[in-house]
Amino acid sequence: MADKLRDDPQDLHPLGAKLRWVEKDANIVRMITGLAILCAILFLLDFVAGRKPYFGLEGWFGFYAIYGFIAFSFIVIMTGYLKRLIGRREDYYAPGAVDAEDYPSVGLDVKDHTDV
Amino acid sequence: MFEALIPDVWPPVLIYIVAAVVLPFLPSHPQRAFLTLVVPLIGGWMIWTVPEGQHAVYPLMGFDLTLMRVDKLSVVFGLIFSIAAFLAALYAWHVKDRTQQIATLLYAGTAIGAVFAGDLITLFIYWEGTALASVFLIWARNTEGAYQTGMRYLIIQIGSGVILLAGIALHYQDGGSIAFDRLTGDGPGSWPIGTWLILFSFGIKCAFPLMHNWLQDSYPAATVTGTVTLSAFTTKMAVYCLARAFPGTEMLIYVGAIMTLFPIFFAEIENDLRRVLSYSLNNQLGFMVVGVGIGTELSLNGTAAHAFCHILYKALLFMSVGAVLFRTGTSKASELGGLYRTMPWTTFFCIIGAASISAFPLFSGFISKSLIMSAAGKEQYFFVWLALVFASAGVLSHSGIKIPYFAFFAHDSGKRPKEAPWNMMLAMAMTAFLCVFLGVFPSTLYGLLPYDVKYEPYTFAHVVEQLQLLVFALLAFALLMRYGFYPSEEKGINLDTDWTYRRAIPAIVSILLRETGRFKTWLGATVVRYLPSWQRGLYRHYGPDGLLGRQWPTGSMAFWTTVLLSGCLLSYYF
Repeated sequence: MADKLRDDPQDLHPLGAKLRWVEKDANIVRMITGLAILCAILFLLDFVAGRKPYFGLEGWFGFYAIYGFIAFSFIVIMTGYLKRLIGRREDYYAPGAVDAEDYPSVGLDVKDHTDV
Repeated sequence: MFEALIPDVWPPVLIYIVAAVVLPFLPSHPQRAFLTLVVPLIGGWMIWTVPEGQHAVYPLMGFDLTLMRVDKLSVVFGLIFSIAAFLAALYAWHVKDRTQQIATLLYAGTAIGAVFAGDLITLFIYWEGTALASVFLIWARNTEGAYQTGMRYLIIQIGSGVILLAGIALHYQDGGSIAFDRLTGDGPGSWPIGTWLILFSFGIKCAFPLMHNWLQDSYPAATVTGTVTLSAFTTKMAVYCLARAFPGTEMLIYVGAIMTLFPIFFAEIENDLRRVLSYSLNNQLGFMVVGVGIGTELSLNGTAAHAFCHILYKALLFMSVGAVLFRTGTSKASELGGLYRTMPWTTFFCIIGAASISAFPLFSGFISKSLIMSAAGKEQYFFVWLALVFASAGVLSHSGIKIPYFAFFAHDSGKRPKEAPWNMMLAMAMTAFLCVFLGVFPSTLYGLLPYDVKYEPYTFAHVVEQLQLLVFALLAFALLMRYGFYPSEEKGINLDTDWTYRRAIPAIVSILLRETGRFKTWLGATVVRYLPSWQRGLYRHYGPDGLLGRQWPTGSMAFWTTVLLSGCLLSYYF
């Protein structure tokens, strides 16, 4: 496995090489901080948005923000339980199941970035 | 005589069929690929220029078959099917397999034929045509698994056609006509069985809950390019049929709401990204079905608009994951990650698809989904509206984040694949352009919708609401990921309703066959064992010296008459 930050930029796509800043821890923290600031601004915009809700609940201050946060978290947390309940090995339906097969190479053109 | 066969308007499906017949005889691959590309353009132009009304009407055995019923609803679906066929052909330019090329032409052609069908018999013919043509896109993968998946797919698709045919026959017998128009009558309470069967067959192809799993079973099993093609037609053809025949059927609101919800959880735990997108497709169909169920002009416009946008952004997502599969040999999240380094353009197009399906402002999903959400709000379906908002956050989770994140970012898989080939890149670029164009200029699409649109998606309040929903969901993702609560992708599959016919029913049949075999063996052994003594007993009583044989048959008859009469006498007393 390649080391994520030790790739020779020559071996990457020029655009890809420029995007490598997204992997640095400090930049990840900056992105999350920026996201949090954006959330705060959007939350406060509820004061001036002049919303016209269809339902009483929708009219609550910050409804969409809170609902979005809770819904997303709920989905992610619940899926852990669901996976335990219905998750099976890849070869559960094998033989004769695509999940347990490799995709035939004849339909592919597997190449590395450095290949001509 | 032949003049009567020449239609006033040529149905676009004919050009697809003619091209499919001609294609195998073209000598070179570029010629064949060019043909697959040019046919949707000509077909699209034919649809764009055709006047509204009923055309190409042929009498057959007492029925009037209408091959071209042209109105705004059929035109908007016909146009997007043409665009999808063009983009899929461009994406598959490198494919030299003639079977796939012919199947794609016939599949797109018959789907377009279905949306212009003015009667139920014509609809049935094209309905089955899509099933037969499309299965070859699965079988073309050429593995045992693809063959078996294709067989399951074909049985279910053809089955839906058989149910449709039975429904049409019963509907006609009940005094109905064969016209393919609104079938809602005075509501479900008044529907004859035929109408229910027609709805049921539409529901199978539209992947209603519990009838949905053919979709997630088959689409990931198709070829790289075949999945892109499959994603566009069958299910949206079913949505069109529902919008045509069952608008305002309230039960569809609840069916659609369930469809938006349950696939979210399955998509979230799925490892194969093409199957994640198949569940996501199911979820998006739910929004369209809710629009049909509400049945107002706003919601039906929403259904048509969402189908239009959905075909594009879903194709774009399937294209980007397909490009990854094409270059790395896998579409499993557990084996991917970090591909943005060498596939930055594919990453970029995937993010545009993800932003569109998540309905970020300035992307296509925003201007179409809003119509349905507003219709649910206006008609005061509170719980349905709540479910749709929840599902919108879910869409962001599995399609907006999971697909681009686990394929192109996340952990480094060590793979450094080459960027997608030029034709795939061009197809993705054009599709991405359309996703942004429709998001920025919604009036372009709104002008094509069945009813006049009096809706403005870009109000300050609406943009703030949508951004609040999505950006706070993004924050939840960032925090869950940062603090290790977001589950990593692991190898494996998940059980769904296909378990019943892939495991449970075969197991039950196997047990029954085994037990029947055992019983048969026991019966044979018993007969062989006791047959001589039965023979001896019969001979003793009925032989020449037997008690009953001496006066046979009179004695025998008298004996059994006595037995019967005694039985009657006893039953009388007791």
